[in-house]
Amino acid sequence: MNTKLLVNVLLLSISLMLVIGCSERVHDQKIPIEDFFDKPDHSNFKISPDGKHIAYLGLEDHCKNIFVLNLENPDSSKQLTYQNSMNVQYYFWATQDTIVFSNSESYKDSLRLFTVDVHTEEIRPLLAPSKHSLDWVKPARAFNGSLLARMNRRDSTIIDLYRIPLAGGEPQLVDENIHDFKEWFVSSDGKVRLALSSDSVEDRLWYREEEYLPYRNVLETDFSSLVYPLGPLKNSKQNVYALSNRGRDKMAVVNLDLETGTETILAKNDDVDMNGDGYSFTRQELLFSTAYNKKKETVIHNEQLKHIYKTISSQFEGNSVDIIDVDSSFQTVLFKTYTDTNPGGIYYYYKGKIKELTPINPALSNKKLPAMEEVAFDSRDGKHIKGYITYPLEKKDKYPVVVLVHDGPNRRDVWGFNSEVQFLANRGYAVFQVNYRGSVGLGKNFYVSGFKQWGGEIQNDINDGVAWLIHKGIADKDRIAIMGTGFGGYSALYAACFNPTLYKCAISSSGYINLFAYFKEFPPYLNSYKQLYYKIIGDPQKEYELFKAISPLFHAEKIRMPILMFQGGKDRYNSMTDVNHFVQKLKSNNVPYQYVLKEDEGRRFKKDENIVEFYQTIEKFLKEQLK
Amino acid sequence: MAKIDSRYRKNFGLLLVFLLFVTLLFVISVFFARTITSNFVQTDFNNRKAEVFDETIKDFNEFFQEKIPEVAYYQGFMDSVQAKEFSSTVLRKYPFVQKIEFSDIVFTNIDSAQRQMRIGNFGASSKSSYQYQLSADYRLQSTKQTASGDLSSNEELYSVFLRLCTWLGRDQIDTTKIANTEIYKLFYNIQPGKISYLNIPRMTDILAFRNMMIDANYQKSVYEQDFYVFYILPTKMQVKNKYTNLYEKVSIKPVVDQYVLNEDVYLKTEIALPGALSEYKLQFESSQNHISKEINKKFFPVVIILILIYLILLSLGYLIYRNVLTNNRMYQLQYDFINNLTHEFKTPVSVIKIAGNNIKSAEQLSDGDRAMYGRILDQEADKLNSLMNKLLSFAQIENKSIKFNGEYIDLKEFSQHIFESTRIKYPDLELQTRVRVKDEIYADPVLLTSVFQNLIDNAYKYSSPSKRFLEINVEQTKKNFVILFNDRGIGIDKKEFNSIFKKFYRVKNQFNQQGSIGLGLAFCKEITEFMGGEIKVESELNVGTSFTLVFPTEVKNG
Repeated sequence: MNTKLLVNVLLLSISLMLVIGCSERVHDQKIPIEDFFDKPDHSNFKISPDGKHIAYLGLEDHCKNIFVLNLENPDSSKQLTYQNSMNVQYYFWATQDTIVFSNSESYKDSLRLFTVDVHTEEIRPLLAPSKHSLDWVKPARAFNGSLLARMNRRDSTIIDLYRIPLAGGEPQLVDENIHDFKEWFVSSDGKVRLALSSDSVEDRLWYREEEYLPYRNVLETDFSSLVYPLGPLKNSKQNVYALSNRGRDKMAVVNLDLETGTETILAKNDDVDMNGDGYSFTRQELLFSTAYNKKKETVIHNEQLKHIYKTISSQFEGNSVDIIDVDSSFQTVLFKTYTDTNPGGIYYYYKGKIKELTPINPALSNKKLPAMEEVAFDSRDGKHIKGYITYPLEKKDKYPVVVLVHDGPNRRDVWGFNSEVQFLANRGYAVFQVNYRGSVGLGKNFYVSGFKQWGGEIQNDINDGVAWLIHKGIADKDRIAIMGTGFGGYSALYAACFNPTLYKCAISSSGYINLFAYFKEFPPYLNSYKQLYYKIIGDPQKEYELFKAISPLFHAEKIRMPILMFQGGKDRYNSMTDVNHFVQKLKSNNVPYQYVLKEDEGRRFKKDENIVEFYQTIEKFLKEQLK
Repeated sequence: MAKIDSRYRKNFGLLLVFLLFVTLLFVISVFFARTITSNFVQTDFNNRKAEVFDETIKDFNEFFQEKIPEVAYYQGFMDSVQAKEFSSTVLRKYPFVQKIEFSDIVFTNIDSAQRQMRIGNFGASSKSSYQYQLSADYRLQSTKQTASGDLSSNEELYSVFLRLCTWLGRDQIDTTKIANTEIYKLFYNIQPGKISYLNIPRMTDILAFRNMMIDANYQKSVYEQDFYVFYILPTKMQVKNKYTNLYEKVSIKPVVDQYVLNEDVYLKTEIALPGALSEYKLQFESSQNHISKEINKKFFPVVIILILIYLILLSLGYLIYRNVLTNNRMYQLQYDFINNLTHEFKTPVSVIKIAGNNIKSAEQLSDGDRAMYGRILDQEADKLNSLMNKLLSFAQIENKSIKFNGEYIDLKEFSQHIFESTRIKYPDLELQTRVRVKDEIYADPVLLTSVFQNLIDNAYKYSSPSKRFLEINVEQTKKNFVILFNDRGIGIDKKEFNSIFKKFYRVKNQFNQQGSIGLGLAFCKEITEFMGGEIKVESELNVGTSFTLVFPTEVKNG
């Protein structure tokens, strides 16, 4: 007995030593860039209406093709399309037997839509290839043999509503767009009764009892409020589920009476906006609701689903479980698990059993990665700002910091697995993300307080966060870099012009250089859209002084810190003439700069080799500058 | 001797040839240097103009490459207020900009009476135009153009618009980007004296323009654009003459200059100004006087260097000449030495020979004679012996083969011994001595004796018989033993102080005809220094000479 115990203790200590030895080696392990940005081969999983199949896009012949997984009988799973020169860009289950897919390369490409029969694999064109735009009315599925879509078929500048017969044939015009409608919403019977118009500042909801009746304006919102219908309520024509922040700061899921405009709150969060992803059209019911608080919080409203969710969650202790799709009979649940340190995977639950469909990033699944911590600080004017910090695994007294500013500004950083953050942390930098004012999802007031604060309070929030990090003794004040894409890049370049002492260097990826040019991206015929941006940034004609003051292009000669600039040639918000001038100015001022132009990329680099080069360049640049 | 003399003469000839040759070389090189410098300055005159040109049009280039494109930053959002501000900075910073015309224009496909130019559905009209100028007192004057909207009068805009439309109307245009050359062709219109500039629209805007032109059903839109015409007066450019030494006058002149050239201009060159400045040229002029000054300035250091080289060559020649002279003197000294030595040896040898003959031929030798001959032979043999010893020991010292047999000597006893023998040797010498020493000296007694002997011999030898006097003082100071020999002899000329210690050197005087080989003092110096002391001389002609020997009291063994 005693000897056995001794042996056990010995074995335990040996294994402990092994573990410690391993984990120590993990600390300085440099993970290759490719591993961080590896994309799974299988994607776009969708459950069939009957819940017995899952379709997905998989790589075959170097092209994305549709595959169908038979859950009942896995042996009869099959590949549905056999394209070898074009990717399937997107697809959806139109009916139980038919899948609609597109292989257009980009929004500029002509429309190429097809239907494929799940059983016979017969592919037929849905529409004759044409040059206009097309957006599916959600939920994208067939009602009485036809699909609802918004198209500018009649007049390239006007988007109308059409029914497209699934069997092929001419689309039929449902509604001419007379009220500047942005979106239509379908009722449970396939009829369209509800529409949303917007001049970008004020939204209006339009309602009609039947399709032959005219629309009536039933609801208006001001520029900061939003009402967005999610779908019809069971057995009700005039009540819908909607996301709304009318009369309150945070977005809630409500039951909206279209006739009276009254709302009944179904789900809300005191800290953050609710998301609208838990509504099921087939059941016409709010199954669950989610919100990005400290972590993503999921509340299941349906008792039956709650039970299933509990079963699933218990299998993934410590992981976040996001429901992706669920069929109407709760046979099948498609879900994703992850933590901040593990990219996780996509799984399905079928009749009580859980199976993995694909890991998100298998190269990272066994690696030890640092956690993402939520932090909060007060900006100089007392505004409470939240952010995230990810420390490198190797503990130090003070860290070199990379401030990663999110794009937008009307977006936000959320807790979860972030490859870019993990890459930087793995290279030894503490990564600091700030949800500066103007970020969305944190309430109306917070969003509105970022209006006209580009380069102003928004920049102050970021800088104050950095000052707070220095004050807390976390950041090494001589080794702080600021980087970002789009608005984040703008913020980095702005910091290069106006905060030369706080940051050591700046990295911009297609950062906005000239806000006059940024504004020009809204074509004159979309004047209505400009209203919102007049509020968010300003009016370039009336407030040109402000525009000059906050556009980096006008202040390039102030820059002395090292700059790394990436630019996608197809980025629409920067004019290449401006970028060239900006770089020219850096050059003539002998600023140490590096400029990488990729002609066929957009704002964010998409091609694998460009992504690798992007991060390689960043790694080298940071290594040199934050020595 | 004759041979040597002829050698001297040959030397002088060679030197003379050398001198002539070097001088000739000097004159020729000075001449060539002058010619080359002159050519160099003239080439410079033609070449340096590019630098003056660059400096002069630097401001213009900055204006053209940096300031004008700034208009595009505003993406058409400029109005009269901004344009005024922009024009004000331009007019004040760049004096060669005379006048600025600004037109706030719109590109549109909406039919309106305002629109004055139209290609297809695409038209342009001017919302307003302004003219900005600086008054004489540097105030900005802004005038609104009355013919608002009338674009036909605005030929600049008309031509830019036409070109843009022609380009937009092409079948094939790259929809992703415009090449730099296209940008220059489309949005700039450069004529002598004028630069027109239309703010470069974004690519998406250009595509929209194209659609407006081609597609009648295109969404009715209005795009704001800014259009500038800058009037340039090149004569207002500041000429920055970096090379005032080369160019007496640099001026901006019209390209066509009908007037006859200024006659007193010696050198003249010009360079055409580019682009909007092309009606003018940069003209460089210099008078003969100005150029000569520059040539001389460049030539001066060259001449200095040549003179230096010349002087170095001359001094080299002199050094060689001096070397030859010294060698010759050495030769003569050795020659004299051999003469003297022979003579020195000859006298005792002949005396011995005569004594020998006398003894041989005498039938009977009296005791007195025998004693006399014996003494004579003995004396002469001693003389020869001492001569040979002298030569030998000197040679030994020269070759450093002598050994220093140092011991502690009591100077009182040592000098007393010498004084006694001196009194015996030279009874007619008045010898005064004084010895005041405490310590013993560390020296080689044999060598020290010969130093004393030499100096005493000299004192005796170089004194007129009436003044044979020698004072010897042996003293001890803190650090040294000082031994002074003071005579009242003929003295030595100051000029010869350096030479008397040289080997084979003899002062030329009546006491020196015979019996001297010029080694005594050289020998003394060598030995004294060999023993770690030093020897000094002070003298006045016909008054006396004093030699001072100084030996350190503390002798480092070695």
